[in-house]
Amino acid sequence: MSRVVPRTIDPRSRWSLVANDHVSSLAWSPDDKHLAVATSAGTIFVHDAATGAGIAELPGHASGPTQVRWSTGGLATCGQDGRVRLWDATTYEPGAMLDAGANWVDHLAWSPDGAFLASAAGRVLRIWNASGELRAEHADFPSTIAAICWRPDGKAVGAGCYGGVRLFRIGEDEPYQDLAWKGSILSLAWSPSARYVAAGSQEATVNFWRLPFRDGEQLHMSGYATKIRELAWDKDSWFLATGGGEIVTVWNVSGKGPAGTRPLQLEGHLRNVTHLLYQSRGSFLASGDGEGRAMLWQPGKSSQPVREGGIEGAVSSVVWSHDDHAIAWGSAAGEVAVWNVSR
Amino acid sequence: MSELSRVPVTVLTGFLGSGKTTLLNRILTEQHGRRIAVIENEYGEIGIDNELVVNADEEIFEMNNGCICCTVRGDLIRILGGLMKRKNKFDAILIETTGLADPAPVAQTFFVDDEMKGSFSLDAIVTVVDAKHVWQHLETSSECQEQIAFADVLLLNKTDLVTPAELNQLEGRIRSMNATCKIHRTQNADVPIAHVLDVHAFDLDAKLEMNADFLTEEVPFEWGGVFDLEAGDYTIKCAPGPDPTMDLLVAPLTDPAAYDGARKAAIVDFAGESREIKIGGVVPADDKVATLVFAEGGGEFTLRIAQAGTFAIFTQHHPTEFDLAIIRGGKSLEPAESYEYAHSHSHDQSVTSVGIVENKPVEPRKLNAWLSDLLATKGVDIFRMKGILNIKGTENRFVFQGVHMLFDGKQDRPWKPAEDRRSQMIFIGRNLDRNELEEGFRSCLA
Repeated sequence: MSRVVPRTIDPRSRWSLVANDHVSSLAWSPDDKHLAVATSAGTIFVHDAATGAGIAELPGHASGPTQVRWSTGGLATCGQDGRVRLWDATTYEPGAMLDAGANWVDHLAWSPDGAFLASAAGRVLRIWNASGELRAEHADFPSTIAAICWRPDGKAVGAGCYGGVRLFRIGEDEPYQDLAWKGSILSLAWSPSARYVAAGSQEATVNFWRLPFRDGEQLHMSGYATKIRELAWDKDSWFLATGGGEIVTVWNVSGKGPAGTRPLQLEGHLRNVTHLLYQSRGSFLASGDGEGRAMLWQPGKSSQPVREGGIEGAVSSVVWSHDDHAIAWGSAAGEVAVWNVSR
Repeated sequence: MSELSRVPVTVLTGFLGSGKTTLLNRILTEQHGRRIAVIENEYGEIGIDNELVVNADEEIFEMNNGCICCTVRGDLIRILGGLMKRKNKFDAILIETTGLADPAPVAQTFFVDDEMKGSFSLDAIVTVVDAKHVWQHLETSSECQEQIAFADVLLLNKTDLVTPAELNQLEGRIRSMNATCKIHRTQNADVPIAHVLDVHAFDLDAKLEMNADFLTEEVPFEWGGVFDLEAGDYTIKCAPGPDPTMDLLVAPLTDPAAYDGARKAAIVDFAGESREIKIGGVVPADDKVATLVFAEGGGEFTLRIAQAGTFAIFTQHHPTEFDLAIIRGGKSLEPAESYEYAHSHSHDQSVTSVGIVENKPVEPRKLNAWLSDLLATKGVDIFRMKGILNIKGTENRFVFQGVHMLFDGKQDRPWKPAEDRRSQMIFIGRNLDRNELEEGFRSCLA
């Protein structure tokens, strides 16, 4: 599929390659030795994370953007064929094929401990265990599920749609919190502290719910240029980075946060930001935009990017390695670039 | 992204059974060279390459802020976003809406959402109307009215099921609602594809030509018909209607083509005096307004024709409101031609078009202020808006178009030396107040 270009000139760039298709999703193996690349044609490629060499090609799913998720629970993919597929993470042989309940499986997420896999297709949320047994189904959402996220302890999952966010404990049919809101949720992020659920919306607001939620305590942050699909919490749950335009807006949620505070504004992108992701242990924030600018920031320390680079086409995916020492960028034009990141 | 790389989107609306799906099939059959993705809401009846047909559940996203112009179709954003990531891009998108769909959120999706705006351009809203059965929905269904009002292209379909007179009457009625759409009469939705695809109806770079002249007069009657009548007496029979009286004027025509002149004269006559005619009274064909006074059960009157010939009859209300019939020898006469006019001061929530033409240049700041206020207060009722403006101090035409509160305008080509620098605007909407719009616009003149 692709040609690997070692980046010998800049030691910080590990390698890049040009796939011939939109990169819809990237995932590191739990030991950070492999990188899985999912494309819009439906195929999934596994590369050696150190060199970029191709290792395996998985048939994946019928045409349409596919997603790949890799954790200690296993290697899982989904696509527009209504299926979730589990794969043997060492031989790459296909494993269980799961029916997600509707044609387009848009969201797939392992619980942080790798015990459960959540899938969302249409209005159906399904929770599976690592071997592919259905553990729960929540099918009565009022509209198509637009985002899912796990509570950091892996014992509850949230799903957002037009009309609000519902939080379910594994094993319970009814949501333990129903965060109703008349508007369209597009993205969700549960803070590592588990105290906040943040949601980005079609109408260019970020909503915060402090848990346990009581009526009237919901916060709306507005003033964004566009709808908000980019949300990222830092490891300490102090900062929430949000997209919704060319500027990365970072709310300080520490202390009494974010009500009444002025957010940090990180300026550098000339197109709308498409992806944001904090390191899981460090303090770097990665941001990518619609024309392929890729930047690393240390919000709160500097308003300038600590590093920037580029990729061909709009940034369509970004993932930090589990050890935070590398970051992989994917683009709509089919490029995958891996950077080394020290500290 | 440039205009060229944006994928054109055609929206097909129309009630179930109007012929919408027939049109869709026709486009797909005749456009086999292009990759077309179809997004449809009504299930299962067409057999085309399955991979390209996506079934969508209509998901209307109303915003927490209550602004109706921000209401979009979430399902379309999601599906089109997904389609754009596919390896093989599409040359065109067709969206078939449900029979009861409101076209506004569909259209707004392509103006409000950044991502959609960048990747797609709304080409046109094409509405298919069942010429025989649409009457039963025209007055009662707001969805039907809106589908007609929003149309850039309208197919009067199933013309084989109605008489030419009925068709004229329907076209007149539709024209009174939407003065700017292109109307095509069809059977089996058979229309040249070029009439429905690549129309560029929302594209301000496309040559915008309009003629608002015929919309600028306020017509005080709702209907006009041409009849060939013999000498002698006819019966005008009316059933009870919404009002206790109705004005009517019978004008002899020198020839059938004289209708237009008679209509203009009737506009003047209707503003003047009239005489009351009680039940059983005689209405002469004398070019003067008669006020028919009804009893509870309606009423019958005598139409006296002194000399055989062609006549135009104008009625204050639509004849259907009173089941008006002109009868001779037990037979009800059909008009040779029939025309509908907007009820400008109507009691119901009717959809009309209002056109404004002005020769004096416009003061841009005043215009901005007026339009902002107008759209803020009346944007819900203004469905579509188009115009060419003569802006003070500029050599170029200013062209604009709008959907509800969404306004898009730009400088166009220079005025030609021989061209009249006239500002023309057309509003299509519900409960439009012509006087208020005219006064508002005139207050913006330099």
